Amino acid sequence: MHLYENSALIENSNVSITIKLKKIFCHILILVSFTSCFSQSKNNTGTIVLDVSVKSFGKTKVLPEEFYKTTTLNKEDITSAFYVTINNTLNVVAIPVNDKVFNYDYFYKNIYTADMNEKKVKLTVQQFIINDKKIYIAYEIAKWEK
Amino acid sequence: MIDSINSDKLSNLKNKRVYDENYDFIVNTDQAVMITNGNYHSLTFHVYRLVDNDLTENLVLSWYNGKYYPALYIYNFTAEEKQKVKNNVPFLLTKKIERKLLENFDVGTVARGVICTTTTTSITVECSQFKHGAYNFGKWPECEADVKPLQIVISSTDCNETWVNGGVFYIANPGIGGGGGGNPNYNPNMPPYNPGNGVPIALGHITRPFLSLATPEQTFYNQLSQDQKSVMNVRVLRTGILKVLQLNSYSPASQQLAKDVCDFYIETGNTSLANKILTLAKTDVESAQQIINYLSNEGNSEASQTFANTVLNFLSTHPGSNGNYILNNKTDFDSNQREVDNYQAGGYDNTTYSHYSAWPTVAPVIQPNNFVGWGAPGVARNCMDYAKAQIAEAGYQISSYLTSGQTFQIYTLQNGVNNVALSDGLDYLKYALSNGIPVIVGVDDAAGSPNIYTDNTTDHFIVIVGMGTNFLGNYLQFYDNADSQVSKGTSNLNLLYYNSSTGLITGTSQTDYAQGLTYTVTMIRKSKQL
Repeated sequence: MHLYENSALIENSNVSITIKLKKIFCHILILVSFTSCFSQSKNNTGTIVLDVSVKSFGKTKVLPEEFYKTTTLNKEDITSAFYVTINNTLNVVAIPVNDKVFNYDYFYKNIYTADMNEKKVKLTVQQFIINDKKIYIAYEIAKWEK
Repeated sequence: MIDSINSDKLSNLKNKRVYDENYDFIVNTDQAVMITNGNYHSLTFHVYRLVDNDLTENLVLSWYNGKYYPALYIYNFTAEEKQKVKNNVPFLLTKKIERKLLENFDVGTVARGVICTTTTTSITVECSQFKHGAYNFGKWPECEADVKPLQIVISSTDCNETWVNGGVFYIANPGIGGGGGGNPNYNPNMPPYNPGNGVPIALGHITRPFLSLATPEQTFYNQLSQDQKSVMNVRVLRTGILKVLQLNSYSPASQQLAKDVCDFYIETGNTSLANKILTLAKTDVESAQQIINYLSNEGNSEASQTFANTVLNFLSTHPGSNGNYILNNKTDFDSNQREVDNYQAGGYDNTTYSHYSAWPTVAPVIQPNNFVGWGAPGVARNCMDYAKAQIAEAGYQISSYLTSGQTFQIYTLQNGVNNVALSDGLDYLKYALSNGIPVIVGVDDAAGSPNIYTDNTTDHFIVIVGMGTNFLGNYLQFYDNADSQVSKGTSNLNLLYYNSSTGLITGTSQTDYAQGLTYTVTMIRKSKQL
């Protein structure tokens, strides 16, 4: 696969989800909550927390119309994306940011620097299935916790 | 028992006319007739509709058990009878009255503001057979008429230093009719008489027909052309226009906008867009007028309507934004990236630079350590704003898109390369870079364009900082602010090559955003000093 090809749409996602045991219970609760909230959308498969390595934070690529229809997000709400690698793979994945809910205050205070290359963070994302492809949308960021 | 005469003070009206969208009528609260009877009182207001139904309509607020009960009294008067009402000439109302209870009427819109000085007059109403009246109180119990004689009190209410003559009265008895004359000056020595059946029946029904002077709404309506009046038959537009007029105190600007919206609707039939413009006008007549002017200048074309709709949607979610600004800087209004620019007028570079055939080599006029990466705090997250912040590092700002001579539109998907603009644009770039001036350019990098109402090609903005020649040809070096990483945004490989055969200027960027994309320069934007 081309390094950046179709980076907003993740095919054959075999991303492993790292969930700390001590937080399993909390995450289950969160997942249950979101499963309940979004159960009306069969394309919304819930939320997960990804441990990622940030390559850069930048302008989002042009996203297909199906993206907005499925997620019900407005184009104005998607300005930026995290370009990341997951689990030490080389494949750079673009994860658009939901500006409406993303914790930018925390991001700027604790994460953002002029050079974030290889910075490891936790991204809480919503997963959507669009045309049989998995799409992530970031709505929260947190420091990496070992 | 009818109480003695009272004097009342009611609160002053803040809004002289109240438009009710539910019932689509306007209550003229400039004047009101107040009728009191002990703890009971009613307020009668003239009600009218912009689209005249030829009926005389009154809103009657009837006070009972601590609450106003609203009802609409509809009088089917002839023109002669209307004149009698205006002149306070009494006449029989038999079969001329219809009453409708207004369950959904917000009484507070009228009653809360009522503060008027009132005087009251005691009057006596003859029975419908005209056999019992003020002249024979003692014989009232013997009356067999359908409508018994009554004694009521009418308060003349002045809310605007204009007295309503309460000396003539009517009894509105829906379905029965009735009424009759009376003596407004009659001030009897009250006999110990309770009208009995009369007053309870009259609760909520004591009123008189009332016509007021023409209001601003009517004056406005009368100014309209026949076509414009026909637009007022469209209820959603009528309600919107009336709200705009009221909220803007019938200012000349709001009346002009209302007429222009009518004209727009006449030409296009686009109810939705007309209604959106009116919604904006409720809070910002100026911006709404700018949009209607834009549509008119564009001949109300479908494209202009689509763009106006986009602008209105944007303004509705971004209050405080300026409609005129967006309309005048359309190329920077990017629905995907929210690129709304804020040009400063004036200081334009109007020089036409002489042709310079050589391709100079110019090192970056901005150092990489002054790179403004994506996400840099204090800058809106869109490429135009970051590009602007980037050239500001060198003391420059972008010039206006629409101002003549400030933009070189060198390429569009629809029309290809414009060789004249290309030649002029390259001359400008050579001049600018040689003089240490960075230049913002638009690029096409994907199918379609968020700027479909301008050049319908540009997808992204970058900053040209240098130029030179290598083994691949003549190039322009650029900073790409679409990335937070300095190394990617200012990479020496961020180059656009000029193909003198095709006239295209194309290249690639090292940013993550641009991976897999080819940039083609669409427009060259002049810079000017901050």
